[in-house]
Amino acid sequence: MIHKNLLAEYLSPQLWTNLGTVLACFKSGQKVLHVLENYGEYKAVWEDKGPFPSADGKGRWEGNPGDIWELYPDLTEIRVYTMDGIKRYYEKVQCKENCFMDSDLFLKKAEACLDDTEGIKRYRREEGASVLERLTTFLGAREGLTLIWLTRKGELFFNCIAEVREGSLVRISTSDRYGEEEFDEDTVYSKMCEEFTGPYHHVKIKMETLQNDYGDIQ
Amino acid sequence: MVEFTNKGIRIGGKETGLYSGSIHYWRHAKKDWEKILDSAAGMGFQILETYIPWSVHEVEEGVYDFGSIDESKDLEGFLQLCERKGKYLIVRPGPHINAELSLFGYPRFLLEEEGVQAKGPDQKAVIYPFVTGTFPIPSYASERLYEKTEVYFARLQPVLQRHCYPKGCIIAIQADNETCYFFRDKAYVMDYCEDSVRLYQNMLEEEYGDIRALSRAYGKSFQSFKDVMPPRGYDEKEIHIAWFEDWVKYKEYQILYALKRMTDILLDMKLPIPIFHNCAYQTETPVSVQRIEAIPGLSVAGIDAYPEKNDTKMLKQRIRYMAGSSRLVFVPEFGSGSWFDRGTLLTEKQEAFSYLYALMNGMKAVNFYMLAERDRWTGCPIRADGIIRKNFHEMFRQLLCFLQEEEVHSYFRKPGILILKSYEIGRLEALLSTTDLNSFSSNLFVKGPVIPPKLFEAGAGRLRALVEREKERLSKTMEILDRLKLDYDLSDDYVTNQKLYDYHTVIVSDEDGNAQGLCWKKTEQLQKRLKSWQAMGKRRVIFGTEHLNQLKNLMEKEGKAVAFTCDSNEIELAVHEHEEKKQQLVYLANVSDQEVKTTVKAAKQSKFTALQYENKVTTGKELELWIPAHTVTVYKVEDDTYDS
Repeated sequence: MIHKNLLAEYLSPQLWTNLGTVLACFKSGQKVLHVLENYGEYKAVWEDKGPFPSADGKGRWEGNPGDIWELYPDLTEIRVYTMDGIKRYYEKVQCKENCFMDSDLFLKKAEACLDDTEGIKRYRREEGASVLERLTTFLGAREGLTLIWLTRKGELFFNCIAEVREGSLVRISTSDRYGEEEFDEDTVYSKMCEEFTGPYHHVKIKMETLQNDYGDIQ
Repeated sequence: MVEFTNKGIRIGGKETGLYSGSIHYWRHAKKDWEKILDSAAGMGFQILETYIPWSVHEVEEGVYDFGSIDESKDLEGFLQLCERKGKYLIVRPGPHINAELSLFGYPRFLLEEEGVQAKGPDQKAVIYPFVTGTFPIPSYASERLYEKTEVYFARLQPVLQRHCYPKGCIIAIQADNETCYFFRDKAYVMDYCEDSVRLYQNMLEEEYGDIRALSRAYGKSFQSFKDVMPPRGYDEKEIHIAWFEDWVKYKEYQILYALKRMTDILLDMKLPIPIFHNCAYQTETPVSVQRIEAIPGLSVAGIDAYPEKNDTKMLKQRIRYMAGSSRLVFVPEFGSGSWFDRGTLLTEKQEAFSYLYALMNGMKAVNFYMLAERDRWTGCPIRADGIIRKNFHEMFRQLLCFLQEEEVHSYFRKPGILILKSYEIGRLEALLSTTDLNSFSSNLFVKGPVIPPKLFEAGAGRLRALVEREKERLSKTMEILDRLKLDYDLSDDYVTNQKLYDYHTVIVSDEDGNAQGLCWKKTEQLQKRLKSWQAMGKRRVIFGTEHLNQLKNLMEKEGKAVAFTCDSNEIELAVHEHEEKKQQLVYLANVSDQEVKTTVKAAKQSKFTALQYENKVTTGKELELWIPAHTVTVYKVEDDTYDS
């Protein structure tokens, strides 16, 4: 989906600084507990918060989910690895076929490998869409040119001109390509249509809607 | 002749500050080059910098394009234009480039070669997951990599030779780029390819000389160095830690080897300009600024910096580490704007704060990366078409004006205190990992599966405790000195004798590696060096943190009291002394979120000239001022005793 020669040009600093906030709308709110089983001993850590506290306070767990789901209502997944499982996983992810691959396809494969590698067990509270799936759903496979115009509290917050050819994202840009001060939606759209070959799409959306519609897709 | 100095660069006998900015000629329409160069000149830049990427110029194996197919690749034309415009140029031909290029600037035909690829412990290629596609990481030990690099560099040689100073504009060249295993720098990620294992065995032979000595250290019986295979992860059951220590040392050795090979290739090109390197971000294993600078023919190793908003902690430690370690405190890539998938950008005010804060902490030379926006980069003073972005442009114009008019490169911080981090304990931390292969989600819009490194931290006992104690000592040492408002630099076991002479107090770790069954030969050497340094008189070594609180009183008794103080905890103060004139630059950084009122007290009657506010002059022993949140204020201070 992301072409190897992707052009990212004329990205308005004023708008592009909000990219992280926009992408955060698609985050699935996943909270994963990672458990390593090593010679019959277990060690558990949160993805970003250090060791998982157990009764003895040593960051270990007891070998099964037990009442963990109830204790941690925001926990979405428990992933248990053996050392051999981890090694097999890295071998699969870094196999020869993955050496020159589109990054989104690579991420999908890396995710899928977690499910089909012996030595890795996943306990999920419920099936949820990944960030990538949410983003893909939003972007769709709109061939041609799409102007995405995002507002927050009635003000322009972010815009993006995305060009997709044969299913691959080949260009991203912003209204900046038509001048640093050019923030008129209709003008930008018509200039985009003048500059590029179609088909053309125009997506107007509020940040609040983006969060509601895509942040919670299950 | 051109050479780096401790204050910048000397070009044809004239020493000057090194302030440059990056422009990627091949990413702009040729017709816009002149406008871009003029916009850079409008900010005061005399020196520019560019990569010369391999994949851009060798479009197919053996097929080169230096402007014959695509005019934006006309390197010769760009060099001629720089010369016509009176600009100097720093060049970085790689072969490692990054620059958000697909495959990091390596041609695909090269990376496809099995013999070029680094290997993981499972003998599979090691993948770098970049946003525009994955690619296999090349091995620093691969002979093929160097053979092929020589072929590409041979094509560059005549062009570069024609345009080197004094005939042309090129004043310096960089050897490779951020050589650190493509950021996947954990101990057991790579490199287990055939060439690398051979290099590892060579290192062991150099280190031990006799296989029996190695056998004793490892508690095993080997017949030959060729029988020794590298570890694939730390194993707590293995009681002989030397095997793992040597692997971590090898990771450093491999980087030094790569940089020596790249430097030798550049030296063979016989270009009359100095060679430098830019480290990515590491101030510990597998990178060592001092050891890189010890490579024959390589003059300076700087460290890049891409601070987040108001990130003073990283900048302070990194710049002061260079001040205590490098020949020139050089940031070869200081973020100006950002790569396109970072998620956020700094404003011009936030960038100005980070630049001034770095200068305040001792930065002497800097290349702003980037000056002109281009594919996959935004937030610069010049757009890709050469039009200026007024806010960023004005900020840089003022900054360059300050640097040049005040000759800031002629002032030096002289902190007197040096904290030495234990490089050995850094190695210990690096080896205590079972299978941390770093993230598969680097530089991507969307984060992929992450397996947290903490899961693989091994060595729960005394060794882990040693690592934690050293970290605590370091942070406590800095905390105490910051509280006492005592200025300091940082370095490690590899500090050079020349650097040591600049300090009166050295603070070192009180840990004893030997007592923990570790082989710290270097630390023993350091102890010896510190003894002879102390023997020069009026110098002290402090072990640990126990006596640090008395340091300020001791220094005052010895007549080393600080010349300026300020009364606010939120304000950091640094004094830079002019190397010849009796005047100082006093930097005051408000690192808080609030505007702060502070009083600066001088030991003597002084004349304070505010450099950013219409040169307003105040005389006296005290200066009262308000400093806005996250800003740096600079005063030139002269002794006013005669006038009064």
